[in-house]
Amino acid sequence: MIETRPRPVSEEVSSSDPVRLSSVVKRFTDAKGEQFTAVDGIDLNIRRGEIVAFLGPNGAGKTTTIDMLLGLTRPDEGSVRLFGGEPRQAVRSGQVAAVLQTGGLLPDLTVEATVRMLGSLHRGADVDAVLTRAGLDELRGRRVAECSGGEQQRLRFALALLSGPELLVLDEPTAGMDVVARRDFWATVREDTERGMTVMFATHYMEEADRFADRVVMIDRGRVVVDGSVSDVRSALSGRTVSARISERSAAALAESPLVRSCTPRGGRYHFDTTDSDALLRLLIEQTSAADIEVTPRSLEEAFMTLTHQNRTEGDNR
Amino acid sequence: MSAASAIREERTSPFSGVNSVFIGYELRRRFNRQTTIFTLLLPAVLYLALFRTAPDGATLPHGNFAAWMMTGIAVYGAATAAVSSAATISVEKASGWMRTMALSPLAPPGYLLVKVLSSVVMAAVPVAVVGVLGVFTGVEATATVWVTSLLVAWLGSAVFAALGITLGLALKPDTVMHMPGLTMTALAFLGNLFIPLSGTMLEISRYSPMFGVSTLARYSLTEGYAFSGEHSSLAMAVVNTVAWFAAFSFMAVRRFRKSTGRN
Repeated sequence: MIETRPRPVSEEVSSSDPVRLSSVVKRFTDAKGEQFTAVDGIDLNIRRGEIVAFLGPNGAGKTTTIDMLLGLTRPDEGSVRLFGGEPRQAVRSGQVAAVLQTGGLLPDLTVEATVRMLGSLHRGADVDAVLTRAGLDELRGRRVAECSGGEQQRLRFALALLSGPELLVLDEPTAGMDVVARRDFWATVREDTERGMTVMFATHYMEEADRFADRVVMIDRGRVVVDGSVSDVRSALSGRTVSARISERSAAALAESPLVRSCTPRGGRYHFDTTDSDALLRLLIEQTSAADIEVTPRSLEEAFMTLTHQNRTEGDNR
Repeated sequence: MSAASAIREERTSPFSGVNSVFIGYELRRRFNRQTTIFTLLLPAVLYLALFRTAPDGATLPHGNFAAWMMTGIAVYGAATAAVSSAATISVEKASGWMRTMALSPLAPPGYLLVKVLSSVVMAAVPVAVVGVLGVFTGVEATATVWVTSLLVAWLGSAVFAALGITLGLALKPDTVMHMPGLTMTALAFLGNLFIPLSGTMLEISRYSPMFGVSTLARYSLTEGYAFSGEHSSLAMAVVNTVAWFAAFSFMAVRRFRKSTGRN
Protein backbone atom coordinates (compact mmCIF):
# COMPACT_ATOMS: atom_id res chain seq x y z
CA MET A 1 0.00 0.00 0.00
CA ILE A 2 2.67 2.46 1.08
CA GLU A 3 4.54 2.25 -2.18
CA THR A 4 1.63 3.67 -4.13
CA ARG A 5 1.26 6.72 -1.91
CA PRO A 6 2.86 9.91 -3.17
CA ARG A 7 6.02 10.62 -1.23
CA PRO A 8 6.71 13.83 0.65
CA VAL A 9 9.04 16.62 -0.39
CA SER A 10 11.25 17.63 2.49
CA GLU A 11 12.16 21.22 1.51
CA GLU A 12 8.57 22.28 1.43
CA VAL A 13 7.71 24.53 4.38
CA SER A 14 4.02 25.16 4.57
CA SER A 15 0.99 25.20 6.78
CA SER A 16 0.46 21.58 5.85
CA ASP A 17 3.62 20.42 7.61
CA PRO A 18 3.13 17.08 9.31
CA VAL A 19 3.40 18.66 12.76
CA ARG A 20 2.87 22.22 13.91
CA LEU A 21 2.69 22.83 17.62
CA SER A 22 2.33 26.50 18.55
CA SER A 23 2.78 27.63 22.17
CA VAL A 24 1.12 24.50 23.46
CA VAL A 25 0.38 24.44 27.19
CA LYS A 26 -1.15 21.67 29.27
CA ARG A 27 -1.85 21.80 32.98
CA PHE A 28 -2.95 18.99 35.21
CA THR A 29 -4.45 19.03 38.64
CA ASP A 30 -2.88 16.49 40.98
CA ALA A 31 -4.59 14.50 43.71
CA LYS A 32 -4.14 17.30 46.24
CA GLY A 33 -5.87 19.72 43.91
CA GLU A 34 -2.69 21.58 43.05
CA GLN A 35 -2.12 22.55 39.46
CA PHE A 36 1.10 21.75 37.73
CA THR A 37 2.16 22.56 34.22
CA ALA A 38 3.18 19.46 32.31
CA VAL A 39 3.79 21.25 29.04
CA ASP A 40 4.76 24.89 29.27
CA GLY A 41 4.64 26.48 25.85
CA ILE A 42 6.14 24.14 23.27
CA ASP A 43 6.67 25.26 19.68
CA LEU A 44 7.59 22.55 17.26
CA ASN A 45 7.39 22.21 13.50
CA ILE A 46 8.27 18.97 11.79
CA ARG A 47 8.68 18.96 8.03
CA ARG A 48 7.96 16.10 5.69
CA GLY A 49 10.49 13.32 5.70
CA GLU A 50 12.21 14.41 8.92
CA ILE A 51 13.11 11.90 11.60
CA VAL A 52 12.93 13.66 14.92
CA ALA A 53 14.03 12.28 18.27
CA PHE A 54 12.09 13.68 21.17
CA LEU A 55 14.17 13.47 24.32
CA GLY A 56 13.69 14.37 27.90
CA PRO A 57 13.87 12.96 31.40
CA ASN A 58 10.88 11.25 32.96
CA GLY A 59 8.13 13.73 33.67
CA ALA A 60 9.49 16.25 31.19
CA GLY A 61 6.19 16.27 29.34
CA LYS A 62 7.01 13.95 26.44
CA THR A 63 3.97 11.72 26.74
CA THR A 64 1.64 14.65 27.40
CA THR A 65 2.99 16.39 24.29
CA ILE A 66 2.47 13.23 22.25
CA ASP A 67 -1.05 12.78 23.62
CA MET A 68 -1.90 16.32 22.52
CA LEU A 69 -0.26 15.74 19.19
CA LEU A 70 -2.47 12.70 18.63
CA GLY A 71 -5.59 14.46 19.81
CA LEU A 72 -5.96 12.19 22.84
CA THR A 73 -5.70 15.22 25.12
CA ARG A 74 -6.71 18.77 24.36
CA PRO A 75 -4.17 21.52 25.08
CA ASP A 76 -5.17 24.26 27.51
CA GLU A 77 -3.49 26.87 25.32
CA GLY A 78 -1.92 26.97 21.90
CA SER A 79 -2.74 24.96 18.82
CA VAL A 80 -1.87 21.57 17.39
CA ARG A 81 -2.14 21.00 13.65
CA LEU A 82 -1.25 17.83 11.79
CA PHE A 83 -0.95 18.24 8.03
CA GLY A 84 -2.77 21.53 8.45
CA GLY A 85 -5.81 19.94 10.09
CA GLU A 86 -7.24 18.69 13.32
CA PRO A 87 -5.13 15.97 14.99
CA ARG A 88 -8.08 13.65 15.54
CA GLN A 89 -9.01 13.83 11.90
CA ALA A 90 -5.47 13.07 10.74
CA VAL A 91 -5.15 10.21 13.21
CA ARG A 92 -8.50 8.59 12.47
CA SER A 93 -7.97 8.82 8.75
CA GLY A 94 -4.70 6.94 9.16
CA GLN A 95 -2.53 9.73 7.79
CA VAL A 96 -0.88 9.71 11.20
CA ALA A 97 -0.25 6.51 13.14
CA ALA A 98 1.19 5.97 16.57
CA VAL A 99 3.05 3.30 18.49
CA LEU A 100 2.27 3.83 22.13
CA GLN A 101 4.51 2.81 24.97
CA THR A 102 2.55 0.00 26.57
CA GLY A 103 -0.83 -1.65 26.48
CA GLY A 104 -3.26 -1.12 23.67
CA LEU A 105 -3.37 -4.80 22.72
CA LEU A 106 -5.86 -7.51 23.57
CA PRO A 107 -4.12 -10.35 25.40
CA ASP A 108 -6.53 -13.06 24.22
CA LEU A 109 -6.14 -12.39 20.48
CA THR A 110 -3.43 -13.89 18.31
CA VAL A 111 -0.94 -11.67 16.55
CA GLU A 112 -2.55 -12.27 13.18
CA ALA A 113 -6.09 -11.76 14.47
CA THR A 114 -5.07 -8.44 16.01
CA VAL A 115 -3.62 -7.20 12.73
CA ARG A 116 -6.60 -8.50 10.72
CA MET A 117 -9.11 -6.99 13.13
CA LEU A 118 -7.56 -3.53 13.01
CA GLY A 119 -6.67 -3.93 9.37
CA SER A 120 -10.36 -4.26 8.56
CA LEU A 121 -10.82 -0.66 9.71
CA HIS A 122 -8.49 0.69 7.05
CA ARG A 123 -9.64 0.38 3.50
CA GLY A 124 -7.09 -1.42 1.36
CA ALA A 125 -4.79 -2.36 4.23
CA ASP A 126 -2.49 -5.24 3.25
CA VAL A 127 -2.37 -7.38 6.36
CA ASP A 128 0.08 -9.97 5.04
CA ALA A 129 2.53 -7.36 3.81
CA VAL A 130 2.39 -5.53 7.13
CA LEU A 131 2.99 -8.74 9.10
CA THR A 132 6.04 -9.45 6.98
CA ARG A 133 7.38 -5.92 7.22
CA ALA A 134 7.13 -5.93 11.00
CA GLY A 135 8.87 -9.32 11.10
CA LEU A 136 5.86 -11.11 12.55
CA ASP A 137 5.46 -13.92 10.03
CA GLU A 138 6.61 -16.59 12.47
CA LEU A 139 4.45 -15.23 15.28
CA ARG A 140 1.12 -15.08 13.44
CA GLY A 141 -0.55 -17.75 15.55
CA ARG A 142 0.86 -16.68 18.91
CA ARG A 143 -1.44 -15.12 21.48
CA VAL A 144 -0.52 -11.55 22.40
CA ALA A 145 -0.31 -12.51 26.08
CA GLU A 146 2.48 -14.96 25.21
CA CYS A 147 4.54 -12.45 23.21
CA SER A 148 7.62 -10.83 24.70
CA GLY A 149 7.77 -7.08 25.16
CA GLY A 150 9.78 -6.71 21.98
CA GLU A 151 7.36 -8.87 20.01
CA GLN A 152 4.41 -6.89 21.29
CA GLN A 153 6.15 -3.70 20.24
CA ARG A 154 6.69 -5.08 16.75
CA LEU A 155 2.97 -5.87 16.71
CA ARG A 156 2.12 -2.28 17.68
CA PHE A 157 4.42 -1.15 14.93
CA ALA A 158 2.63 -3.43 12.45
CA LEU A 159 -0.72 -1.95 13.50
CA ALA A 160 0.67 1.53 12.93
CA LEU A 161 1.68 0.56 9.41
CA LEU A 162 -1.79 -0.66 8.43
CA SER A 163 -3.09 2.69 7.24
CA GLY A 164 0.07 3.52 5.29
CA PRO A 165 0.73 6.59 7.47
CA GLU A 166 2.70 9.63 6.33
CA LEU A 167 3.66 10.47 9.90
CA LEU A 168 4.56 7.88 12.48
CA VAL A 169 4.73 8.84 16.15
CA LEU A 170 6.45 6.47 18.56
CA ASP A 171 6.28 7.01 22.31
CA GLU A 172 9.32 5.40 23.91
CA PRO A 173 8.93 2.37 21.70
CA THR A 174 11.86 0.46 23.16
CA ALA A 175 11.34 1.14 26.86
CA GLY A 176 11.95 -2.07 28.75
CA MET A 177 13.44 -3.96 25.81
CA ASP A 178 16.82 -5.64 25.98
CA VAL A 179 19.66 -4.48 23.73
CA VAL A 180 19.06 -7.08 21.03
CA ALA A 181 15.32 -6.46 20.87
CA ARG A 182 15.96 -2.74 20.66
CA ARG A 183 18.36 -3.13 17.79
CA ASP A 184 15.98 -5.42 15.94
CA PHE A 185 13.11 -3.03 16.48
CA TRP A 186 15.01 -0.07 15.11
CA ALA A 187 16.25 -2.07 12.14
CA THR A 188 12.62 -2.80 11.29
CA VAL A 189 11.58 0.83 11.67
CA ARG A 190 14.55 2.09 9.71
CA GLU A 191 13.66 -0.10 6.76
CA ASP A 192 10.26 1.48 6.65
CA THR A 193 11.36 5.05 7.07
CA GLU A 194 13.61 4.69 4.08
CA ARG A 195 10.38 4.84 2.12
CA GLY A 196 10.09 8.48 3.15
CA MET A 197 7.84 8.41 6.18
CA THR A 198 8.08 11.31 8.64
CA VAL A 199 8.90 9.99 12.10
CA MET A 200 8.84 11.46 15.55
CA PHE A 201 9.93 9.27 18.41
CA ALA A 202 10.24 9.87 22.11
CA THR A 203 13.06 8.07 23.83
CA HIS A 204 15.19 7.92 26.94
CA TYR A 205 18.12 6.52 25.08
CA MET A 206 20.52 9.12 23.69
CA GLU A 207 22.13 6.44 21.59
CA GLU A 208 18.86 5.79 19.78
CA ALA A 209 18.54 9.45 18.94
CA ASP A 210 22.13 9.44 17.84
CA ARG A 211 21.81 6.49 15.49
CA PHE A 212 18.40 7.02 14.13
CA ALA A 213 17.30 10.66 14.06
CA ASP A 214 18.15 13.61 11.83
CA ARG A 215 17.06 16.10 14.38
CA VAL A 216 16.90 16.12 18.15
CA VAL A 217 14.39 18.01 20.22
CA MET A 218 14.98 17.92 23.95
CA ILE A 219 12.47 19.04 26.44
CA ASP A 220 12.69 19.50 30.15
CA ARG A 221 9.97 20.66 32.51
CA GLY A 222 7.61 21.14 29.62
CA ARG A 223 9.87 23.41 27.57
CA VAL A 224 12.12 22.85 24.58
CA VAL A 225 15.73 23.15 25.74
CA VAL A 226 17.57 21.95 22.66
CA ASP A 227 16.46 21.73 19.06
CA GLY A 228 19.02 20.98 16.41
CA SER A 229 20.60 18.45 14.13
CA VAL A 230 21.99 15.31 15.69
CA SER A 231 25.58 16.29 14.95
CA ASP A 232 25.15 19.73 16.55
CA VAL A 233 23.64 18.30 19.64
CA ARG A 234 26.21 15.57 19.84
CA SER A 235 29.14 17.97 19.70
CA ALA A 236 27.47 20.22 22.21
CA LEU A 237 27.03 17.30 24.51
CA SER A 238 30.15 15.31 23.90
CA GLY A 239 33.32 15.61 25.92
CA ARG A 240 35.31 13.98 28.66
CA THR A 241 35.81 14.49 32.31
CA VAL A 242 39.37 14.90 33.54
CA SER A 243 39.85 14.64 37.26
CA ALA A 244 42.94 15.08 39.39
CA ARG A 245 44.29 15.97 42.82
CA ILE A 246 45.31 19.54 42.42
CA SER A 247 45.71 22.70 44.45
CA GLU A 248 42.80 25.03 44.65
CA ARG A 249 44.73 27.84 42.99
CA SER A 250 45.77 25.76 40.00
CA ALA A 251 42.24 24.50 39.67
CA ALA A 252 40.88 28.02 39.60
CA ALA A 253 43.46 29.00 36.99
CA LEU A 254 42.61 26.00 34.82
CA ALA A 255 38.91 26.67 35.09
CA GLU A 256 39.59 29.94 33.23
CA SER A 257 40.89 28.00 30.23
CA PRO A 258 38.57 27.87 27.21
CA LEU A 259 39.08 24.10 27.16
CA VAL A 260 37.21 23.71 30.42
CA ARG A 261 33.47 23.89 30.40
CA SER A 262 32.99 23.44 34.10
CA CYS A 263 34.97 22.56 37.17
CA THR A 264 33.61 20.89 40.27
CA PRO A 265 35.46 19.80 43.41
CA ARG A 266 34.31 16.41 44.66
CA GLY A 267 35.91 13.88 47.00
CA GLY A 268 39.20 15.79 47.36
CA ARG A 269 39.55 15.95 43.58
CA TYR A 270 38.70 18.47 40.94
CA HIS A 271 36.60 17.32 38.00
CA PHE A 272 37.01 19.25 34.78
CA ASP A 273 34.42 18.91 32.09
CA THR A 274 36.22 19.43 28.79
CA THR A 275 35.77 19.27 25.06
CA ASP A 276 39.43 18.48 24.42
CA SER A 277 40.83 16.17 27.05
CA ASP A 278 44.20 15.75 25.31
CA ALA A 279 44.97 19.46 25.41
CA LEU A 280 43.79 19.72 28.97
CA LEU A 281 46.01 16.80 30.00
CA ARG A 282 49.02 18.57 28.51
CA LEU A 283 48.17 21.70 30.44
CA LEU A 284 47.74 19.73 33.64
CA ILE A 285 51.06 17.95 33.31
CA GLU A 286 53.11 20.85 32.02
CA GLN A 287 51.77 23.67 34.14
CA THR A 288 50.53 22.16 37.39
CA SER A 289 51.55 19.59 39.94
CA ALA A 290 48.40 17.57 39.40
CA ALA A 291 48.49 13.96 40.63
CA ASP A 292 46.31 10.86 40.17
CA ILE A 293 44.95 12.11 36.86
CA GLU A 294 41.97 10.24 35.44
CA VAL A 295 40.19 10.70 32.16
CA THR A 296 36.66 9.34 31.76
CA PRO A 297 34.37 9.70 28.78
CA ARG A 298 31.34 11.75 29.59
CA SER A 299 28.28 9.68 29.05
CA LEU A 300 25.56 11.20 26.95
CA GLU A 301 23.15 10.78 29.82
CA GLU A 302 25.49 12.72 32.03
CA ALA A 303 25.81 15.43 29.41
CA PHE A 304 22.10 15.53 29.06
CA MET A 305 21.66 15.89 32.81
CA THR A 306 24.14 18.76 32.86
CA LEU A 307 22.41 20.43 30.00
CA THR A 308 18.93 20.21 31.44
CA HIS A 309 20.33 21.21 34.82
CA GLN A 310 21.99 24.30 33.36
CA ASN A 311 18.78 25.22 31.75
CA ARG A 312 16.96 24.82 35.02
CA THR A 313 19.31 27.11 36.93
CA GLU A 314 19.17 29.70 34.17
CA GLY A 315 15.44 29.47 34.13
CA ASP A 316 15.25 29.84 37.90
CA ASN A 317 17.50 32.90 37.86
CA ARG A 318 15.36 34.64 35.33
CA MET B 1 -1.62 13.72 -2.28
CA SER B 2 -5.09 14.79 -3.35
CA ALA B 3 -6.24 11.29 -4.24
CA ALA B 4 -5.02 9.92 -0.94
CA SER B 5 -6.65 12.81 0.91
CA ALA B 6 -9.93 12.23 -0.84
CA ILE B 7 -9.94 8.60 0.27
CA ARG B 8 -8.97 9.62 3.79
CA GLU B 9 -11.73 12.26 3.93
CA GLU B 10 -14.26 9.74 2.76
CA ARG B 11 -13.67 7.28 5.57
CA THR B 12 -13.89 9.61 8.52
CA SER B 13 -17.65 9.54 9.04
CA PRO B 14 -18.69 8.84 12.64
CA PHE B 15 -19.36 5.20 11.85
CA SER B 16 -16.53 4.65 9.42
CA GLY B 17 -14.69 1.45 9.90
CA VAL B 18 -17.67 -0.57 11.13
CA ASN B 19 -17.40 -3.73 9.05
CA SER B 20 -18.20 -7.43 9.08
CA VAL B 21 -14.62 -8.62 9.63
CA PHE B 22 -14.28 -6.49 12.74
CA ILE B 23 -17.66 -7.61 14.06
CA GLY B 24 -16.70 -11.22 13.26
CA TYR B 25 -13.65 -10.99 15.53
CA GLU B 26 -15.72 -9.22 18.13
CA LEU B 27 -18.24 -12.08 18.12
CA ARG B 28 -15.51 -14.71 18.24
CA ARG B 29 -14.08 -13.04 21.32
CA ARG B 30 -17.49 -13.05 22.97
CA PHE B 31 -18.27 -16.74 22.47
CA ASN B 32 -16.20 -18.03 25.32
CA ARG B 33 -17.22 -20.77 27.74
CA GLN B 34 -18.79 -18.36 30.19
CA THR B 35 -21.11 -16.71 27.69
CA THR B 36 -21.99 -20.03 26.09
CA ILE B 37 -23.19 -21.34 29.45
CA PHE B 38 -25.19 -18.25 30.23
CA THR B 39 -26.64 -17.64 26.79
CA LEU B 40 -27.26 -21.17 25.48
CA LEU B 41 -27.22 -23.76 28.20
CA LEU B 42 -28.85 -21.85 31.03
CA PRO B 43 -31.86 -20.58 29.05
CA ALA B 44 -32.42 -24.06 27.63
CA VAL B 45 -32.22 -25.74 31.04
CA LEU B 46 -34.39 -23.11 32.69
CA TYR B 47 -37.02 -23.43 30.00
CA LEU B 48 -37.12 -27.21 30.28
CA ALA B 49 -37.36 -26.97 34.05
CA LEU B 50 -40.09 -24.34 34.08
CA PHE B 51 -42.38 -24.74 31.09
CA ARG B 52 -44.75 -27.06 32.96
CA THR B 53 -44.92 -25.04 36.18
CA ALA B 54 -48.18 -23.29 35.34
CA PRO B 55 -50.15 -21.95 38.28
CA ASP B 56 -53.49 -23.70 38.86
CA GLY B 57 -56.16 -22.62 36.48
CA ALA B 58 -53.83 -20.52 34.39
CA THR B 59 -55.43 -19.49 31.17
CA LEU B 60 -54.18 -17.15 28.48
CA PRO B 61 -56.14 -15.52 25.69
CA HIS B 62 -53.90 -16.56 22.78
CA GLY B 63 -51.77 -19.52 23.85
CA ASN B 64 -50.67 -21.77 26.68
CA PHE B 65 -48.35 -21.44 29.68
CA ALA B 66 -45.41 -22.93 27.76
CA ALA B 67 -45.68 -20.01 25.36
CA TRP B 68 -45.60 -17.61 28.30
CA MET B 69 -42.50 -19.28 29.69
CA MET B 70 -40.83 -19.53 26.28
CA THR B 71 -41.18 -15.79 25.80
CA GLY B 72 -39.85 -15.05 29.29
CA ILE B 73 -36.83 -17.26 28.80
CA ALA B 74 -36.24 -15.81 25.34
CA VAL B 75 -36.16 -12.30 26.84
CA TYR B 76 -33.81 -13.53 29.56
CA GLY B 77 -31.48 -15.30 27.11
CA ALA B 78 -31.38 -12.39 24.69
CA ALA B 79 -30.70 -9.92 27.49
CA THR B 80 -27.91 -12.08 28.92
CA ALA B 81 -26.33 -12.47 25.50
CA ALA B 82 -26.54 -8.73 24.91
CA VAL B 83 -24.96 -7.91 28.23
CA SER B 84 -22.03 -10.23 27.49
CA SER B 85 -20.30 -7.26 25.86
CA ALA B 86 -19.38 -6.31 29.43
CA ALA B 87 -16.66 -8.97 29.59
CA THR B 88 -14.94 -7.87 26.39
CA ILE B 89 -15.23 -4.18 27.20
CA SER B 90 -13.79 -4.63 30.65
CA VAL B 91 -10.75 -6.43 29.23
CA GLU B 92 -10.43 -3.77 26.55
CA LYS B 93 -10.43 -1.03 29.12
CA ALA B 94 -7.88 -2.75 31.34
CA SER B 95 -5.54 -3.50 28.42
CA GLY B 96 -5.56 -0.01 26.95
CA TRP B 97 -7.41 -1.16 23.85
CA MET B 98 -9.61 1.93 24.24
CA ARG B 99 -6.61 4.07 23.37
CA THR B 100 -5.92 1.94 20.32
CA MET B 101 -9.55 2.40 19.32
CA ALA B 102 -9.36 6.14 19.95
CA LEU B 103 -6.50 6.26 17.44
CA SER B 104 -8.32 4.16 14.85
CA PRO B 105 -10.89 5.20 12.25
CA LEU B 106 -13.48 3.64 14.51
CA ALA B 107 -14.60 6.91 16.07
CA PRO B 108 -16.38 6.55 19.44
CA PRO B 109 -19.87 6.17 17.96
CA GLY B 110 -18.49 3.45 15.68
CA TYR B 111 -17.02 1.54 18.59
CA LEU B 112 -20.33 1.65 20.45
CA LEU B 113 -22.19 0.64 17.30
CA VAL B 114 -19.98 -2.46 16.93
CA LYS B 115 -20.74 -3.41 20.53
CA VAL B 116 -24.49 -2.98 20.06
CA LEU B 117 -24.57 -4.78 16.70
CA SER B 118 -22.66 -7.77 18.00
CA SER B 119 -24.89 -7.84 21.07
CA VAL B 120 -27.95 -7.98 18.84
CA VAL B 121 -26.41 -10.80 16.79
CA MET B 122 -25.51 -12.68 19.97
CA ALA B 123 -29.02 -12.21 21.32
CA ALA B 124 -30.55 -14.01 18.34
CA VAL B 125 -28.93 -17.27 19.42
CA PRO B 126 -30.78 -17.95 22.70
CA VAL B 127 -34.02 -16.68 21.16
CA ALA B 128 -33.67 -19.24 18.37
CA VAL B 129 -32.73 -22.02 20.81
CA VAL B 130 -35.68 -21.38 23.09
CA GLY B 131 -37.98 -21.03 20.07
CA VAL B 132 -36.93 -24.44 18.77
CA LEU B 133 -37.37 -25.98 22.23
CA GLY B 134 -40.81 -24.39 22.31
CA VAL B 135 -41.81 -26.10 19.10
CA PHE B 136 -40.88 -29.50 20.54
CA THR B 137 -42.39 -29.00 23.98
CA GLY B 138 -45.90 -28.16 22.98
CA VAL B 139 -46.04 -24.40 22.93
CA GLU B 140 -49.46 -23.42 21.71
CA ALA B 141 -49.91 -19.93 20.37
CA THR B 142 -51.25 -18.04 17.42
CA ALA B 143 -48.86 -17.16 14.60
CA THR B 144 -48.90 -13.50 15.70
CA VAL B 145 -47.83 -14.50 19.20
CA TRP B 146 -44.97 -16.63 17.90
CA VAL B 147 -43.62 -13.87 15.73
CA THR B 148 -44.09 -10.85 17.99
CA SER B 149 -42.96 -12.51 21.20
CA LEU B 150 -39.68 -13.83 19.82
CA LEU B 151 -39.03 -10.71 17.76
CA VAL B 152 -39.60 -8.35 20.69
CA ALA B 153 -37.50 -10.58 22.96
CA TRP B 154 -34.69 -10.36 20.44
CA LEU B 155 -34.84 -6.62 19.71
CA GLY B 156 -35.54 -5.74 23.33
CA SER B 157 -32.01 -6.93 24.04
CA ALA B 158 -30.79 -3.51 22.85
CA VAL B 159 -31.74 -2.21 26.32
CA PHE B 160 -29.28 -4.67 27.85
CA ALA B 161 -26.63 -4.09 25.22
CA ALA B 162 -26.42 -0.59 26.67
CA LEU B 163 -26.30 -2.02 30.20
CA GLY B 164 -23.48 -4.35 29.10
CA ILE B 165 -21.41 -1.39 27.95
CA THR B 166 -21.98 0.38 31.26
CA LEU B 167 -21.06 -2.70 33.30
CA GLY B 168 -18.01 -3.36 31.14
CA LEU B 169 -16.71 0.14 31.65
CA ALA B 170 -17.49 0.10 35.36
CA LEU B 171 -16.21 -3.33 36.39
CA LYS B 172 -12.77 -4.93 36.57
CA PRO B 173 -12.09 -7.96 34.34
CA ASP B 174 -12.02 -10.44 37.24
CA THR B 175 -15.46 -9.46 38.57
CA VAL B 176 -17.05 -8.99 35.19
CA MET B 177 -16.95 -12.73 34.43
CA HIS B 178 -19.75 -13.50 36.87
CA MET B 179 -21.44 -10.20 37.58
CA PRO B 180 -23.46 -9.74 34.37
CA GLY B 181 -24.78 -13.32 34.37
CA LEU B 182 -25.86 -13.08 37.99
CA THR B 183 -27.27 -9.59 37.58
CA MET B 184 -29.34 -10.68 34.61
CA THR B 185 -30.68 -13.74 36.43
CA ALA B 186 -31.69 -11.58 39.39
CA LEU B 187 -33.31 -9.01 37.10
CA ALA B 188 -35.14 -11.81 35.32
CA PHE B 189 -36.74 -13.05 38.55
CA LEU B 190 -37.61 -9.48 39.45
CA GLY B 191 -38.92 -8.78 35.97
CA ASN B 192 -41.63 -11.48 36.10
CA LEU B 193 -39.78 -13.71 33.65
CA PHE B 194 -39.46 -17.06 35.43
CA ILE B 195 -42.19 -17.21 38.03
CA PRO B 196 -45.53 -15.51 37.51
CA LEU B 197 -45.58 -12.70 40.06
CA SER B 198 -48.59 -11.12 41.69
CA GLY B 199 -49.50 -8.55 44.36
CA THR B 200 -46.70 -6.48 45.86
CA MET B 201 -44.01 -8.38 43.98
CA LEU B 202 -45.68 -7.55 40.71
CA GLU B 203 -45.95 -3.89 41.78
CA ILE B 204 -42.19 -3.78 42.43
CA SER B 205 -41.55 -5.72 39.26
CA ARG B 206 -43.23 -3.05 37.15
CA TYR B 207 -40.28 -0.71 37.77
CA SER B 208 -37.54 -3.23 37.02
CA PRO B 209 -35.62 -3.19 33.73
CA MET B 210 -36.82 -6.50 32.33
CA PHE B 211 -40.48 -5.97 33.05
CA GLY B 212 -41.04 -3.61 30.15
CA VAL B 213 -39.46 -5.80 27.49
CA SER B 214 -41.09 -9.00 28.80
CA THR B 215 -44.53 -7.40 29.00
CA LEU B 216 -44.15 -6.11 25.45
CA ALA B 217 -42.96 -9.50 24.24
CA ARG B 218 -45.90 -11.25 25.91
CA TYR B 219 -48.53 -8.66 25.10
CA SER B 220 -49.94 -10.43 22.08
CA LEU B 221 -50.19 -13.59 24.21
CA THR B 222 -51.58 -12.14 27.46
CA GLU B 223 -53.13 -8.83 26.40
CA GLY B 224 -51.32 -7.47 29.43
CA TYR B 225 -52.98 -9.68 32.07
CA ALA B 226 -51.05 -11.51 34.77
CA PHE B 227 -52.29 -14.97 35.84
CA SER B 228 -53.56 -13.37 39.02
CA GLY B 229 -55.70 -11.02 36.93
CA GLU B 230 -53.73 -7.76 37.31
CA HIS B 231 -53.35 -5.76 34.17
CA SER B 232 -50.32 -3.94 32.84
CA SER B 233 -50.95 -1.49 30.05
CA LEU B 234 -49.00 -1.44 26.81
CA ALA B 235 -48.13 2.21 27.40
CA MET B 236 -46.61 1.39 30.80
CA ALA B 237 -44.49 -1.34 29.23
CA VAL B 238 -43.29 1.03 26.51
CA VAL B 239 -42.43 3.71 29.08
CA ASN B 240 -40.50 1.17 31.18
CA THR B 241 -38.53 -0.05 28.16
CA VAL B 242 -37.73 3.39 26.81
CA ALA B 243 -36.83 4.78 30.22
CA TRP B 244 -34.41 1.97 31.04
CA PHE B 245 -32.91 2.09 27.57
CA ALA B 246 -32.36 5.83 27.94
CA ALA B 247 -30.91 5.42 31.44
CA PHE B 248 -28.49 2.64 30.43
CA SER B 249 -27.45 4.45 27.26
CA PHE B 250 -26.85 7.66 29.17
CA MET B 251 -24.66 5.85 31.69
CA ALA B 252 -22.81 4.02 28.92
CA VAL B 253 -22.04 7.17 26.96
CA ARG B 254 -20.97 9.05 30.09
CA ARG B 255 -18.66 6.26 31.22
CA PHE B 256 -17.34 5.87 27.71
CA ARG B 257 -16.48 9.56 27.41
CA LYS B 258 -14.58 9.34 30.68
CA SER B 259 -12.63 6.28 29.66
CA THR B 260 -11.22 7.57 26.36
CA GLY B 261 -8.32 9.94 26.52
CA ARG B 262 -7.01 11.61 29.61
CA ASN B 263 -8.76 14.96 29.40
